[in-house]
Amino acid sequence: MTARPAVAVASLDKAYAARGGRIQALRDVSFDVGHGEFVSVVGPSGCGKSTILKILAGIVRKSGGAIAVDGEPLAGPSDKIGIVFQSPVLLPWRTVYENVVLPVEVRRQPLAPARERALGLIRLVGLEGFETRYPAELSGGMQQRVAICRALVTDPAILLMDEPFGALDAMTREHMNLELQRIWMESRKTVFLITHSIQEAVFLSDRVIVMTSRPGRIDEIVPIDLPRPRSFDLLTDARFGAYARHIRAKFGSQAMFA
Amino acid sequence: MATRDDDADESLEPQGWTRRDVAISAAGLAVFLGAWELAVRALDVPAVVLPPPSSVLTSLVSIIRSGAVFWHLGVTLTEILAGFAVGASAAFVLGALIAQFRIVDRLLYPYIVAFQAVPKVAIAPLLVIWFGFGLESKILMTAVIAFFPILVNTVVGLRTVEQDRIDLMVALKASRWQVFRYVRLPTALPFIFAGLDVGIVLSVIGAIVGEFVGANAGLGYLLLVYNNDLRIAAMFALLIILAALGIILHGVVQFVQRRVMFWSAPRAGSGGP
Ligand SMILES: Nc1ncnc2c1ncn2[C@@H]1O[C@H](COP(=O)(O)OP(=O)(O)OP(=O)(O)O)[C@@H](O)[C@H]1O
Ligand SMILES: [Mg+2]
Repeated sequence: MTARPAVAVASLDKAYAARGGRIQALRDVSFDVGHGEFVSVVGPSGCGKSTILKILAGIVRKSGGAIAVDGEPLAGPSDKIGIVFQSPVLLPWRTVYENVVLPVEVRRQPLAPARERALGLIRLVGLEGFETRYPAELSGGMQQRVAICRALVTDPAILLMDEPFGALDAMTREHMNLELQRIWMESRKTVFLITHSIQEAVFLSDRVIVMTSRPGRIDEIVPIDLPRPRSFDLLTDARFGAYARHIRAKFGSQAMFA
Repeated sequence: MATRDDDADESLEPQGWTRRDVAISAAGLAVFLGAWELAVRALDVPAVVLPPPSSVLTSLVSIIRSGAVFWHLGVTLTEILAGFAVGASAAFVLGALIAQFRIVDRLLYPYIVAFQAVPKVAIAPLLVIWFGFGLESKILMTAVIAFFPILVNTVVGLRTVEQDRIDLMVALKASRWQVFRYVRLPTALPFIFAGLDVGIVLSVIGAIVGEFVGANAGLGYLLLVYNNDLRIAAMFALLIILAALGIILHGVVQFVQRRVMFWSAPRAGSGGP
């Protein structure tokens, strides 16, 4: 890890104002994500995973603590960050291509150079031929892939993903995991991935952050020391199984995995 | 997501009507008209009170043949379309300002709500005094009547928050105007069109009411003339023409809606009715 991490989170607190009081969503959450590092977060539903992502995205205000991106304090949404939300959030009146280039348009960047990149990304996620279709014509998994293209189109150095593959079937999900690993290894992006799947977290990550709920805290940060590139043969590897068992044991009897 | 198809099915068009449905509907109408005809004849109801459907039809044919009705129809249609255009534009602009700017909301909305409680028909005589017997007073009457449902729907539609979409735009550092253009306006369109649909039907009422109060042309004026002459069958014929006009205008709004909101139309098939 470098001296100046891509993302540095220190003593992050978040309390939502709610009817009849406050909901303490996060308490004293601290972690770093190094440049080019792949970090995942797992934890029970409602432990504040999406909240961390929304704070990093500049959508939700933190209640306390400090966040730095590239050494600079985070003040609102950053151009260095691309986001994939928990649901695809495509605009139904825009075609696949138009949805992908939305960030370019909104940021008033030139469209011509972005066009090649957008079409390349659409090809990369296997949606070639669907450029002029509308979201309603796509399956949930295809929509989520469009959302991934949209997050990558401005070539952000940091990619935040909130359970991006939750809606996919097991086969497509494994395929997308391999694709994500490839994109990450080629582009050397910093990736921060939230997931419900321990297997996905161990398979993809350099480190896995394990959280506990109410209020959300970090239980342990588990470094995953497995060679790259990883293939699904790894699933039967004893070391892989040991990591997965270790993380699963953290949750004790809280069975929340689908 | 699930509501999308439901919305499309809510249109009044005979979408998905089978031949049998049409036959049942036609039979129902025939029975109703037959009963009406028989009752009027059997009970010897004077034509001045209730004409039989046969004489209404004769009257309709002769009114259309003579051609005199078309000029009046043209006048009324002009009033409807101009009034609707004025009312809808004003409602949209004001609605957008109210939804976007809190200060405009606080300044204007109370008065708008209060004014909505006034029966608009009651101001028709005032409009005639201020703007005369010509087109202007009818256009304004139409605009005032069409205005409110469109305004209310625009405000409600623009305030409908799809939080995920707003979050997406915020994360992209979108300006307020960009959020409006890229997300809020398209999200509000189903509401706005619902308002336009109600507004266009009310516009017909507005134009006729305006003509009732003081006019020398138009279908409303013609209704009064026939009423004076006790030509009741001809009045019924005019009512049929007005109903047909309302249905056609409603159909036009629906057609435009399907064109503008192409993404919510059922994609399988032609997309037409
Ligand atoms: N806008 C909000 N207002 C009030 N409370 C909220 C809000 N958003 C989230 N919360 C609360 O904060 C806590 C954490 O929510 P968050 O969405 O971050 O959980 P999560 O870990 O992403 O859950 P999941 O795995 O189900 O997506 C929950 O208890 C939730 O009720
Ligand atoms: Mg979540």
